[in-house]
Amino acid sequence: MFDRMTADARWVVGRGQDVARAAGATHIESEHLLIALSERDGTPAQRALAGAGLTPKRLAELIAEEHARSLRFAGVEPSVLPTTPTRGSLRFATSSKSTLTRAVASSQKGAGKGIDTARLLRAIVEQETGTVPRLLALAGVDRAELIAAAEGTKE
Amino acid sequence: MRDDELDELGEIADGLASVVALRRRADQMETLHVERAMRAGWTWSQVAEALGVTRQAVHMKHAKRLIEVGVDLRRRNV
Repeated sequence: MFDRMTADARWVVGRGQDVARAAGATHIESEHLLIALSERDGTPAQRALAGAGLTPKRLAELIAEEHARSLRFAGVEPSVLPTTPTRGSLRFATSSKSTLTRAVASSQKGAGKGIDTARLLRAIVEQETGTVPRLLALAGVDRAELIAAAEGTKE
Repeated sequence: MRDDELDELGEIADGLASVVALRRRADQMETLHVERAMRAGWTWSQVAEALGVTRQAVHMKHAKRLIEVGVDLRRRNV
């Protein structure tokens, strides 16, 4: 899988683990990959995300907002707990495994381009339910437009 | 949003997401409170009993991190 990725895409997956660790997560979730994508300056995915207002800072806020909304639904007041960073090698969560599987599948159907950041973004954004679609909905971002913006520019 | 799409912020999606959020919160609270207990001198067995899990389970899950954050675990092998 990694050998099919562009250097930027590989950076994003590695960085996703750092983001997950800093957030104290036990697994790398697709939202961590999304933040990593937003941090890789000069890539079509980063430009598309920034164009929709989705900077790393804004994405972190949206994730916090999504978590708070979900806790409130369960009747829990979302008080802030101290974040304990996790260490070591983290596994991919189901959400990011599905994402990477979709990215590989799309690269096999496409014109042999391999997996670039635009394909990663499409695979993340195509997720139908879960944290990523919820935070995009909270931000009022149109997923199809986001994909088009990323794929309309060359990496 | 089109009619044939799921409502990502509707009641059903909120309900399922609340389960995810509660699991995450439970993990965070376990990390926080196990560390507090061990810093306060509780034994692995006491913490395990309080959590309703085995001593081995709580040790496997937390020992490495507690050592890394500087909790003194010597003479706590009970």
